[in-house]
Amino acid sequence: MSQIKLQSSDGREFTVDAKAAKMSETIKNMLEDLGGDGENAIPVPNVTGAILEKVISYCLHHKDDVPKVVEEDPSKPKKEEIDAWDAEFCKVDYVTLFNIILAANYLDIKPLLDVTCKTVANVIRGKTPDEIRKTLGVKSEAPASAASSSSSSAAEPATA
Amino acid sequence: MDVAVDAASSLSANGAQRRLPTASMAVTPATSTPSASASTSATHADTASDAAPVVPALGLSLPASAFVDGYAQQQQQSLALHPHYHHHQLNHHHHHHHQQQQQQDDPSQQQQFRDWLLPTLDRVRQLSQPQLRELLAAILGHPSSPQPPSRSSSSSSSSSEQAADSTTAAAAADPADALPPVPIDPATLSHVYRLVEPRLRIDFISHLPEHLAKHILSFCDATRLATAAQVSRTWRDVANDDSLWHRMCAQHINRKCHKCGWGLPLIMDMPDDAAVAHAAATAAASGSEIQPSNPRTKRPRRRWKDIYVERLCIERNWRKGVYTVRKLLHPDGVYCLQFDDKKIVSGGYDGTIRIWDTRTGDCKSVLEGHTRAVRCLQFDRVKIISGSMDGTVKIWNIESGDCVRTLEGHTGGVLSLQFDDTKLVTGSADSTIRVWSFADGQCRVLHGHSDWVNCVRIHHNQILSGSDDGTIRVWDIQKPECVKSMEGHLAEVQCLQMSHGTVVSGSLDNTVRVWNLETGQCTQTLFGHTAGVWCLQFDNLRIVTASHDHSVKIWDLESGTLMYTLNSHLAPVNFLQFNDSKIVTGAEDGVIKIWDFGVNL
Repeated sequence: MSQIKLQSSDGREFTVDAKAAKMSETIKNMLEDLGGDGENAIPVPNVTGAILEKVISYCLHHKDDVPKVVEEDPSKPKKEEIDAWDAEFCKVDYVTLFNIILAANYLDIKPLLDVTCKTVANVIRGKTPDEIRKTLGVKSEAPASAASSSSSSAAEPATA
Repeated sequence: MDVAVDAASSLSANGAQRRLPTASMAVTPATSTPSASASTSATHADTASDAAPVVPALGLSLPASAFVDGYAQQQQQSLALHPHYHHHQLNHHHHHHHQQQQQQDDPSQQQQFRDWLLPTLDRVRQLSQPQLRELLAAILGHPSSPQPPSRSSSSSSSSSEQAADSTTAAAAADPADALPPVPIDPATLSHVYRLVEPRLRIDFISHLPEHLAKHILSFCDATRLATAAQVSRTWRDVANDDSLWHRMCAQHINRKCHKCGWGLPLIMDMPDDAAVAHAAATAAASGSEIQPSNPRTKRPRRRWKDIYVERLCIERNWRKGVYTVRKLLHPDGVYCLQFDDKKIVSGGYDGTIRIWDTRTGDCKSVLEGHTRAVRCLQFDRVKIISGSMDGTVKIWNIESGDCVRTLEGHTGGVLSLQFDDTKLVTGSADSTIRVWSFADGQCRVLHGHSDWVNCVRIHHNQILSGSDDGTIRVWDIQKPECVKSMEGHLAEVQCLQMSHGTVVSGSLDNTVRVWNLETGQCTQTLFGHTAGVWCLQFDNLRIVTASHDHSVKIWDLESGTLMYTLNSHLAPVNFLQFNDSKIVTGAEDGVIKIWDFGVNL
């Protein structure tokens, strides 16, 4: 079984390389549990066609990646670098990015979740709270002053 | 605002609700020639039939002259696109204002406009970010950089990917099907912008499930976490999350973070927090999560963010040289000292050992017994051990101040000592090192140095020693014999310390050297002192040195660069010790200074 059919929430069907589809732990588990026959499309009820298409394009690009077993070391800062293809992939509007994050979470595609979350983290970089509110349309409810004073002193030493 | 924006005519001509601006765009700076702009805009097209899902091209061009030349025609066409225009004189400069006014005045037109706009917005939402940037740049009158041709095609394909079942994108590139671009005037676009732009924003942190919001913030450094906490209440709750700051602490406390170049002190003299910080450091090393709880205290546990902030303040003081100084006076001069949170113990030329209250600076007791200068001492919870030029080592009860034992054996002054749980090591002017066992009182003598042994350090099963013969020797306690000798200093080695395979030594040749213990090679030499270096200490972040040039210098451990010099001693500085927030120095004139960096907390 080299091809798998996936059906998005809005009924679109995608035929996907099995290896790419199995980048999703969720789909991989489904296939193992249900022993998919390749005929019936696997429903992906939480993801729309447009987003699923994006996700699939990611999986196709990365399906041959060697899975990295990275020991989580809390004493090391997480890598923030995003490779060029992924960076281009993430150049979508925020609403789409938001939906890809949700889809990556639901489908359990760790590298995709990481790269999209990094992208959001990079949006915040170098911005003041006000700029962040503007950029992401955060409803401004000013946090308590005590917290903000402690926060300002926590600003990264590099700026000191 | 010399901006003319072209849209497919079908967009304005019929059923604008179904027509969507997406696909390729090209933006030409306002200074470009008409011919250049013509060729650019000619590539934009919409070939959609009415039945098929539509992806019309929205062509943008910004030629100043073209805008003027085609002005009348453009306005004609934009009338169809924009329902309000027939109410206006086509005064470009006042469009914006009038249109606003008009819309507010006329609800039905506003409605009409919305009927067109809202579905359009839905599709605009699917533009990729580069496309949007171009669009918005055009609207705002800041032409973005010209797009390379390949970019145009790639953005076209990516938008077709988003527009469901799009079959028209490829056709759109076909010049034969190109329709003449139709302008949308800047005022319309700026209106569109105001309506569209908010819909492209989304508050990730508030709207994603909490674990995903935290996942995003886990990629942020402390600056961004701190900033994020100020964005809104929801953001603050997520950004102040203890596990995120635990991670920050683990990355920075007692180690240098290679990303930001900062390390934070592991505050050991704050007993309540020391265990906590240590737990963070250990947890980091072992990769496990340890919550900041301290079994010894009943205090509510502190938030990791508070711990981080406190350490950061102290570290900033260290870097900027912000401190307070207090002075104590040990008559006749200080040779050695040690301090903790409660007390400072100093040994001096006068042969006494004095115990001071760290907080008040009062001298609580004077231990007398040595007949000559006290050259070295160390204390723990129950005892003080001191070595003197009189050749003896004395063990004192730290509470009562009584001398409980005197060790004799060295035939010269005892210049240095260090003890751990099982043994005491002393270095002497008789050129030998003695290893005294606490268990059975046995003493072994290490021979090898040819001159005074000025410093000894225990490191697991090894002893390091520095001598007036200019060498640093490494001894194996088990054998016991000298297993390595490191040579390089041009004069007497006065002090040394070793940690994690790195040895740092100070010498009367005025330099500080950094050695690799494994290879025995000197990896770095720090120049700066103008007289002999008599004492040094280093931790994971910095080296502090004391010299007979009256100064105390603080160096960055990693780079070996001098950070700054503390200059207020008026005599040679014989000894120093520092912890994470204080340096205590003792000088030849008897002045003990406490440099406290834990200020402004």
